[in-house]
Amino acid sequence: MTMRGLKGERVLMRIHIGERDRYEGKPLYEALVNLLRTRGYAGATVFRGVMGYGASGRIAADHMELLAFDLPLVIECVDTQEKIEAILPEIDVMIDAGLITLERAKVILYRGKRNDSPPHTLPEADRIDITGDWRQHE
Amino acid sequence: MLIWYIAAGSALGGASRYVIGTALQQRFGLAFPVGTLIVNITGSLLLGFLLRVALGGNQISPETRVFLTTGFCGGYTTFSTFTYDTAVMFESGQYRRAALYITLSVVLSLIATFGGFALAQSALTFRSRA
Repeated sequence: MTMRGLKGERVLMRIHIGERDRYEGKPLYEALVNLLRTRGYAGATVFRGVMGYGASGRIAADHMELLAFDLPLVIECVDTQEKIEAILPEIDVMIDAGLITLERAKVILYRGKRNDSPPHTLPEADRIDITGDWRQHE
Repeated sequence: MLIWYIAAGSALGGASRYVIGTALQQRFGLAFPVGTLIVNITGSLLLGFLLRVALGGNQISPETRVFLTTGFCGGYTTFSTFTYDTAVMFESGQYRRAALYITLSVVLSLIATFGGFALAQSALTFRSRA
């Protein structure tokens, strides 16, 4: 499952959903992360927001109990443009209400856990790489 | 078994709080926990009224009484949400807002309870005249 060589021009996908959204009886965010993981995507991270609203206009906020029922979640995944585009039809049918954005991302570091303790002597392929034309996109 | 009457009343009260409280809060937004405040005030009015009516005459059975009071009003009103929202205000440095919320909750709920007593008195007087 471990993927190597992600560095370079990639795509960042951000999926905005709610905490209460479900897919086939499971929390939707869990279903989405499982889908990405089983398909061998580079990684995914789920963030919970402290406040927000979406297309319905209903507000959610964690500082008020009566509004804390459906807090916003963002799932981020970075991978190649081809892989992100390939998974979108599947994600499309899983999401009831939400928002998805895609943006260009320059991956400068992508590596798994190492057995030795830092400072690491890294092979060239694992080192931070800021070469290329990424500055032109600023 | 009184406990089942209480359980049923609590379920109904809690669900009512969810529906009414969230609808109010969505309307009023984030500035103040209006939903919980109104739920606690109306629940206090209701409990004051119900207990005085129930204890002022013998027309209400103990089962109905606990269903409405310990059950419904207990599930409908919430002290823990009041303290949670207040604690979060303190935590985020909103001391004035917290003090206002505590004052309004306690004072208005007490006034509502006395209002419930007065309504019950009127209802009992009306009933005894009829």
